[in-house]
Amino acid sequence: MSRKLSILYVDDEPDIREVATIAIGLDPDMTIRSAGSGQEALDALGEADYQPDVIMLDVMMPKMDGPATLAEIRKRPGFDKTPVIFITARALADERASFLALGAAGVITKPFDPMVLPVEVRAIVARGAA
Amino acid sequence: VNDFQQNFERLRGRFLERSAGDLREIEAALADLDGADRPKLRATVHGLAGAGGTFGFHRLSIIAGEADDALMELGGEVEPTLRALANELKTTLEAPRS
Repeated sequence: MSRKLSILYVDDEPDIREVATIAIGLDPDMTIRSAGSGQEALDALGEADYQPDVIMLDVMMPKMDGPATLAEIRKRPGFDKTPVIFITARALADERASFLALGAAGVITKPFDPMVLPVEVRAIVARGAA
Repeated sequence: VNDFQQNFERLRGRFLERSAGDLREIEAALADLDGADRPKLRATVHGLAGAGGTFGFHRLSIIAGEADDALMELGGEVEPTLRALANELKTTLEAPRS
């Protein structure tokens, strides 16, 4: 049996966090854990034995936004290549390009359709692995 | 999937409850645009743009996106787009819920 794809979802909006959690939970081959801030995500990544396969980061969060959180994640040993997907309510073409230039594996635009969120995540991860 | 629908409806209801507070904040900002806390206002509007559509309020999401653009000085004017957002929020909150 293959291992489930483990996702860390980081978003300061509790409703969206919960929707993402139950949407990803619909996929039997994925597990999800959520964090409400960049700092909370970094704390989770500091835990022994916690190594998500994918990190999903909301771009606009107070205190530490998505790009700043990504920069901190990349400093952590073992997380320099973990695929990171930015989640943003705005995805202008130049903004999308700048997120990819920062090292993101992909960008998902809010509002997202909860029913297709797992498929979108899987597609981005597969593209990165190809 | 039934569990998902139940949870989704619960979260949708919570989003609407929270939106009532967002409407009050936007109306207060419209009453005193110069004195409004712009970063807080933008975070609220940005949140509506992202969450609205996820919960099925697509028109609200689009209008919030336009107000978000205006607040970021990417296009449009702040006052009319915020007023349109306040009106759409009122309509959404007054609509009968199934």
